[in-house]
Amino acid sequence: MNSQLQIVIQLSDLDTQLEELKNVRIKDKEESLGFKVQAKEAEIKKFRDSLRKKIAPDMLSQYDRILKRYKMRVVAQVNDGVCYGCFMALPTSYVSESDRNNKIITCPNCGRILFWIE
Amino acid sequence: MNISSFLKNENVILNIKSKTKDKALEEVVNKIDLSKEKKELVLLSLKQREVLGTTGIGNGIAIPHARSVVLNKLCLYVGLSTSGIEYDSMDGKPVHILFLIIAPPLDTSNQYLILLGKIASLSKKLVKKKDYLKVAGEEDLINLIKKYESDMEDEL
Repeated sequence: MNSQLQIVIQLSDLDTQLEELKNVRIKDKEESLGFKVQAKEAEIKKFRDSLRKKIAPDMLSQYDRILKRYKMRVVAQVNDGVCYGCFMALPTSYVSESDRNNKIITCPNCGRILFWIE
Repeated sequence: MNISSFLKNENVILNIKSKTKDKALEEVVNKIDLSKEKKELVLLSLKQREVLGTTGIGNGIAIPHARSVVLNKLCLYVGLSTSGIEYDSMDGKPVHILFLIIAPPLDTSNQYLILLGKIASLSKKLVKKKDYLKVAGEEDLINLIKKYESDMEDEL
């Protein structure tokens, strides 16, 4: 797996969880089940910044553009040739098998960064 | 949707050896049938979720849960620890039963939150009776969970 992709996935998973817990319905649901959702802002910022520092500047600005647009799920899975960000089928010859997860590839339709589930 | 339908013998760990939260999460994640790289990503996502608030809900129960892009279906593990895991739980008590849930970032039927709710109620019932600590094998624990699930359905 591309090492930049690996960090981008971490950041995307973190941003997705942060955004989800900003959703009042989800936060309320978790709290009603007994979970304490009390983000330690400083700790999260430190954690998030440490991930962002590991990402190349061009890649990071691309990430931020996608995040700005969708707020979460910057990285989307590809299942059976379908982008699970926008549910469009990718063109069959879009990416060679050897490039999957070894290069940063975005969905031609929604622009999200793609991760192939084998 | 039943909790037990997500559980096979290999999803049950009868004796978690680790004594700390991070190590226990690692021990359970290691059971998932994924490459080393993907396991690391799953573990990091779980640890990130813990930073957003502990999943040790008290009374010896922990329900670590997170979303990870490396999995395309929801996956559930249950682990027991007789001696207890230091978990930074809300009541400060060690954890004796742990349900670990990993879900893909997008599950259209929203199984994740529904399952989380079911597990939270079931685990509270299990802990009250304490019989989960007496199970003899993986299948025993799954059967016990099935029994509590059907009792819960009867109550509805």
